[in-house]
Amino acid sequence: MNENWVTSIGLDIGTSTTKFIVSRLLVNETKNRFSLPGVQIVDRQISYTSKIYTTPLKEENAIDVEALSLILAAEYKRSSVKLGDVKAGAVIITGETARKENAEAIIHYLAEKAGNFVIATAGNDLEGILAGKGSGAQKRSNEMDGIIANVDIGGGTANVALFQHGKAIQTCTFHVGGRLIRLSESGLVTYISPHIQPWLTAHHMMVKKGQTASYRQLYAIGEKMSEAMLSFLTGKPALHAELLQTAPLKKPMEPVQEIMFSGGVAHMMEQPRPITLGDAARHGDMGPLLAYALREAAVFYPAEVKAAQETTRATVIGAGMQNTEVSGATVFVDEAVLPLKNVPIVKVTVEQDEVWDADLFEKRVKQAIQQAVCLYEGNQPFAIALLHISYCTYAMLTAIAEAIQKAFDQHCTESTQIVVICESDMAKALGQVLAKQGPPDRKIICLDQIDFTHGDYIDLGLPVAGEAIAVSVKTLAFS
Amino acid sequence: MEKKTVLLGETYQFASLKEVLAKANEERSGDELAGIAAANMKERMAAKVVLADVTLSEIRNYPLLSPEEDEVSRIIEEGLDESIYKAVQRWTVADLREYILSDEQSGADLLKLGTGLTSEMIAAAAKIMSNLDLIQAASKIEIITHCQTHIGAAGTLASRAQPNHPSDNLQGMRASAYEALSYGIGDAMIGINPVIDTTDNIAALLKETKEIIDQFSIPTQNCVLSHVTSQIRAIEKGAPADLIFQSLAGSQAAIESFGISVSMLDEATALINEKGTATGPNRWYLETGQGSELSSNSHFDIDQVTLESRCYGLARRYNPFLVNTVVGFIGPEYLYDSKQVMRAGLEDHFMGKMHGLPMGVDVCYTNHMKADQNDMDNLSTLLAAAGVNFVIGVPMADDCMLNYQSLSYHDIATLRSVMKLKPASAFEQWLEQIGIMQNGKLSRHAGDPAYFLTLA
Amino acid sequence: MNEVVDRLKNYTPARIGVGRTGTRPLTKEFLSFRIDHAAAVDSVYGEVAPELLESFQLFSVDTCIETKEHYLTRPDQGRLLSEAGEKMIWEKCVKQPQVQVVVSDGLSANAIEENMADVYPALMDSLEANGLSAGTPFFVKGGRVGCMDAIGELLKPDVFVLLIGERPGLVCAHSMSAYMCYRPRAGTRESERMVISNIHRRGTPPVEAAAHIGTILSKMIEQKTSGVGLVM
Repeated sequence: MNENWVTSIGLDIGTSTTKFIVSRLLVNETKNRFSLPGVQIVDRQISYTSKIYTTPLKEENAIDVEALSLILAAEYKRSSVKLGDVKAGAVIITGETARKENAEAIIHYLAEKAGNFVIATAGNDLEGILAGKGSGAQKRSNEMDGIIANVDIGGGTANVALFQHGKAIQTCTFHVGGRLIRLSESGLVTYISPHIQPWLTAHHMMVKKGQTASYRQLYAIGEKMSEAMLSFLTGKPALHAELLQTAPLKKPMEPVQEIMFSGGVAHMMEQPRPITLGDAARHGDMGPLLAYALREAAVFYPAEVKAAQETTRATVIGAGMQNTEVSGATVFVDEAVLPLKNVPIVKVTVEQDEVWDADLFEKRVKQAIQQAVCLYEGNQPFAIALLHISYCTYAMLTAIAEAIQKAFDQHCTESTQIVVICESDMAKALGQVLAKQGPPDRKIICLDQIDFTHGDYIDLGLPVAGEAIAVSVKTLAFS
Repeated sequence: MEKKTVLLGETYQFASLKEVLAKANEERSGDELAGIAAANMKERMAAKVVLADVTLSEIRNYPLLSPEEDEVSRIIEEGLDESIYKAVQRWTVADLREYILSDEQSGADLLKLGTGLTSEMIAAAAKIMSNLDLIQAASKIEIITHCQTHIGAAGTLASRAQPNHPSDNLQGMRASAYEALSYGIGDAMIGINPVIDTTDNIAALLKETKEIIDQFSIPTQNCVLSHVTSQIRAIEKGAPADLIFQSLAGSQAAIESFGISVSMLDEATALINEKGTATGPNRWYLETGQGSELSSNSHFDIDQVTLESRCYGLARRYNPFLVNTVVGFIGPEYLYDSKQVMRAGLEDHFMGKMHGLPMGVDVCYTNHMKADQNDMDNLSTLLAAAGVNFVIGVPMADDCMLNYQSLSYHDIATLRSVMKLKPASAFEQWLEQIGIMQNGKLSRHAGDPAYFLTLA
Repeated sequence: MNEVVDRLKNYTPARIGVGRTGTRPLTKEFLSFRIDHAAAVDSVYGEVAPELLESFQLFSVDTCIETKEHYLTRPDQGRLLSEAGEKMIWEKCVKQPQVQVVVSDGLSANAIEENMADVYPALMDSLEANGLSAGTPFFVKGGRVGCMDAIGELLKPDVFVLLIGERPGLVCAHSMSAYMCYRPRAGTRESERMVISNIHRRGTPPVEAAAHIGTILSKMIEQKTSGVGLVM
């Protein structure tokens, strides 16, 4: 058995705060004389945590990349991580700062300064899932029967991820956050997020920028907001909860049995009740009051509140520690082609309704590849993801390989590589057949034991243990 | 030591005590594979007749493996109570058999006698005993041991829950453990045979089994049956272990082929006493089984019953909480069919008990052995009658990791019901308290593994 | 039974959530257990169909085993080739091949019948992908793992692959192992052998197991060793 520590970093640039962690992932390669090798991440440890920085902003929601780069340079130095050692990790740009301009500037900077295999992603859905992984909600869902919601509340949004039996099953996002209303210590409102205006109007809550708000007024807003969100999560939406949603749900939400809170607001939920308005506005926003109101309101809903292992740092820990996975240990890889980032996943069903039909499969592959070529034009590589294989016989293997090679011959003549990913353990065998059948200059990457059911893109890293490579499956970035 | 006898008009000559002991065994394939078995029934009987007249001092004075050349012999020799031995040294093996079976002698008398007997003497007695002799003798002996809880009291039948999983999946293991507990199984221990022998994996399994025990306040103990060295590493890293496990064999060469030695076992004893999570003094879980010496070619032409007895001589040094003979696991080249397995199970149980050991039996068979589940029904009933301390339970008798069959959880519940036996007392109270048993019987929740999720 | 029990059952192939009547199992579960045992026993006593061997162009040789009972009680005899077997191998096989592939029923004829069609061609692909050349493959009836030593003495291959039926379990009566060894010979230590075990459709995937054999064999040839000493 080989033990292999991989350095992974996490960076969370949020609306109000920025955090950085360095973690170590223990990749365990089981090699014995009795079985196929296996590889898995068996331990994830935090080796360095930064302090919580206020996100440097130039003006409203535009990140000051120069100031950020100074922070990062200092943090890299303090954590004594060498850029060359960083093999995995994720940068999450969240909330209202997650704008395209910001993201591009940061990615550009990071590409040069933060290590080779840092992934840049953003988006409320992913952020919510990562927070749920970092807070311990995902782990808890394995121990219970039912659904747990992780509600990650930061400055701008509350990102909710539902977990059942260890898997994220749904996400949704609310405009519920600590910095949606900003104020001075005397209660002077300096900012109201336009996103909550319709909801405030519906409730006839008249707070305006430039006016002074009372403790009671602000608490009432926090209370109603909390109740709206909790009513939605427990299956009986009330108080115009839909007006707080960032987007309508794609499928109806299952009511949850347990709730875990993470994020900056969750951290404040553990603090004593703010006594005065000045106390409540100590961070220049409604955060402490929202936290207090949420804690009080949660008692009245039929979902048990579970304490999170991590609150403020849940997302950055999820990103840095929990986002990287490894492929199967027996794969077919041409290392010269790696790493590949942001590879779109093109799903093809192998057995429709559990029936294998070589002709139908050939048609489906052809169609999928044709579409992919139109969609991703030119030489952009895409990954063919093979879905639904109950058992792969040798006859199926050759037919799958033939169909793929044929489709490439017809529709991707200039393509120099084929990337195939599958769930079940068959990549090396498939890779060998693909290589045998295809022209020698068409490189083959064939990976397995990757769960891509909720993924749209995949990053393929370098080998981390034996043949196994680091991978990260992502949902739509910058949507 | 040469011996000669005339039986049914034919003269039988034996060149050594080793030969007499081997040929006196009931028929078994392992002795035949080793080339040391009696040629026919008459020669077998001649050997038994000769053996019956051998004195205990002869057995001691003609060692099969001298203490100087073999560590196991040395341990057996050093452990002997000389005063008791002196009192019985002139007995023949026949005298020994009759003393053991006499109504005059209680179990306590037999335990006292056992401390003055070498493993070879106990094996010799077994060879001239019938199956019912072995049951009668063993049933007198009560051996109570204490780890976290006490087991072995007369009138009880304890059980090891063996919730193995083919890839050590923790949730799978837990699900299987719930099934066991729901039938009242697991009072001897919750013990896992791991697939992956890495420190981290062993630690994870120890932690998970302990978590189950703590979560439901189960009066039992945990154990993960990896090589002793990987358990030591896991325990040193802080993994919670009530028991430490090792397989034993009956010769130094054989235990060396397991990668262990007496000093290593002594070290492990010190460690589990210091860092183990149990409160009681008995911290070992030991496994044995006829034939393992021959399979590693370290049997020195000694028969497998005698070698098995020597395992118990070694085990005695470590005051184990449980000793388990995995009787039908080794395969048909050592025990060919159910008749041989049954005989071996009764012999092992008797010989272990005479050594003062808390004997349990894994009543089991493999698919290439001429045996089926009905044979296990029979043997387990015989053993329950003989007062076996504990047996092994797996879901529906089918171990999905080790690929052999043992007893099902149902079978153990049935044995208790038919033979009027109870689970270990603290465990029984716990079963009543959480509602798996009601007034000594399985309740309506029994047999429902999901019941534990409602308690969680 | 209910959903929660089903979920528990999903975590493990063990026969849990089976229910009871009194202290005894329900009839269906009890019979299903006995059926699986019957399949396992029949697999031990079964034989590989000659047509199957022909379809892979394998000729068959015997060990010193005469009957199944003989096979089960005398593992030593299953490691030795019969005289006629030795002669046939000598006449028909390429000597000193790079890779010698041998198939044997071992403890489960069924394992060969179920898995050959997936394992064998994928193994040949794997040899090709790794630039290895195979000698003349054949079948050994009544073989034990150690028969590779006797064949090794005769043909002197660089590396050896033995596809052999495993002792049947209840979950699966047709599980195959692939044993591999660098230059097997009389006196090969067990620690020199390597194996991929549990090969069947619900265990180690047959095509993937076969695909990996080539990787292992090339490493053996490269490092001139096998077993514990091989760096993978």
